Amino acid sequence: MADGPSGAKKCRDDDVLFRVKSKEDREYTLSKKAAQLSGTIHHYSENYGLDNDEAIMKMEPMSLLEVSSESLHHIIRWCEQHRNCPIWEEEKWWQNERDAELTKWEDEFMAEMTSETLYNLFLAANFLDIKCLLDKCAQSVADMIKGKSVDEIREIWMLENDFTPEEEEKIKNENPWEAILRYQEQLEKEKEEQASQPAASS
Amino acid sequence: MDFLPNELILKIAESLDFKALHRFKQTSTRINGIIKINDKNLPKYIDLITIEGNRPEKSFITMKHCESFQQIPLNECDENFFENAAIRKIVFSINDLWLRLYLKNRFDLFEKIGKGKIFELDHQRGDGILIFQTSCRFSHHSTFL
Repeated sequence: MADGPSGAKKCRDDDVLFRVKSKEDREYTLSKKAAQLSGTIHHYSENYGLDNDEAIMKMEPMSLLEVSSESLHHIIRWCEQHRNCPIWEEEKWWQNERDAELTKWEDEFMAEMTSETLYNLFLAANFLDIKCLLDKCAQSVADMIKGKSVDEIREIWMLENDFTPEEEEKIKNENPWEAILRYQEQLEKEKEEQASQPAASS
Repeated sequence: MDFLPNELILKIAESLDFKALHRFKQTSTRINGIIKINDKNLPKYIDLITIEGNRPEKSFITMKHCESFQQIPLNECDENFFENAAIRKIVFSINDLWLRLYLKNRFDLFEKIGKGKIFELDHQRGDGILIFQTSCRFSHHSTFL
C-alpha cells in the first residue's frame, strides 16, 4: 500500500504505542496521541483501564472486527497526521486552527481514494468514531455526487433504482422549485454558450 | 451505498447543495425516505424573507416544513440555518438612513442570509415605492446593492 501524500507523519520512537488488529487479524500500532482521535478507542481505553502509559505498553491488541486492513492502514495515516488536533472528547476539531499544509495533505489523501476505498473508509471512520475523518469522507462523497446526473450517481455508488415509473415521475416533479431549477440550468447553459462564442468567432 | 447506515447518508446529504440533494433523493427509495424524514436538518427551501426597516425583531422567514408554512423570526436563525439554503424571495423596505447604515456597517443580518442562494429580490423604500425588482437573480447579497 502506498504511503500516500508526501510529508506524512509517522509514529516516533519515543511514542507510546496503541495496538490494534484488523478483521483479517493483522496487527498495527498507532501512537497514543493519534489513537485519542477515535471515540471507540477512547471508550475501550476507559473500559479496560488503559489510562496510563504503562498499561498501554502492556496491552493486548484491540480487535477491530469491522475494519479491514486496508481501511485501518488509511485510518492510522489520517490519525498520525492529525495527532496534534484536539482529542475526540472535545468534539471541536473544526475550531482547531487549520493550517494550509494540513488541508493540502487531507486533499491529497482523499484524492488517492477510489469510490470503493472511500466507502470502506467512511464506514471504518464511523465505527471508530473519528469525527474529523467522518466529515471529510462525507464531504468527499458529496463532491463526487455534485454535478452528476441521477443515473451517474447510481452507477458510481451501485444504487438500484427501485422506484416504480409512477413514483419516479412523482419525485421528479415533487420539487416546488422545478421551474426555477430549469431556468437556472438554462441560464447556466446560455452563459456557457456566451463564453464559448468569442473563441468560436476568432 | 445500500449498506451505509442512515446517519452516514444524512451526513452526505448535509454536504450537498439543494440542487445536488434533489438529484440524490431521486436515486433510490431508501435515500429518498431518509432525506424526507430528516428534511429539517438539510438545505432549506425558504420561500420568503421579509425584513422591515432596520428592525430584526420584525423580520421573518416563511418556509414550508412538514407540509405547512411556518414563520420563523429571523433573529432566531444563525448563519448555519442559511448554509446552502435556496431563498426564493427577499422583500425589505429601506429608507435612506437604513441604507446608509447598511453601507457603512454591512449588517450581520445580510452576512448570514448571504450563505444561501437568492432567486428574487424586492427592494422597497420605506414609503412603499418599489425602486427595483429583479427576478431569478442568482447572486450573493453583495452584488445587488
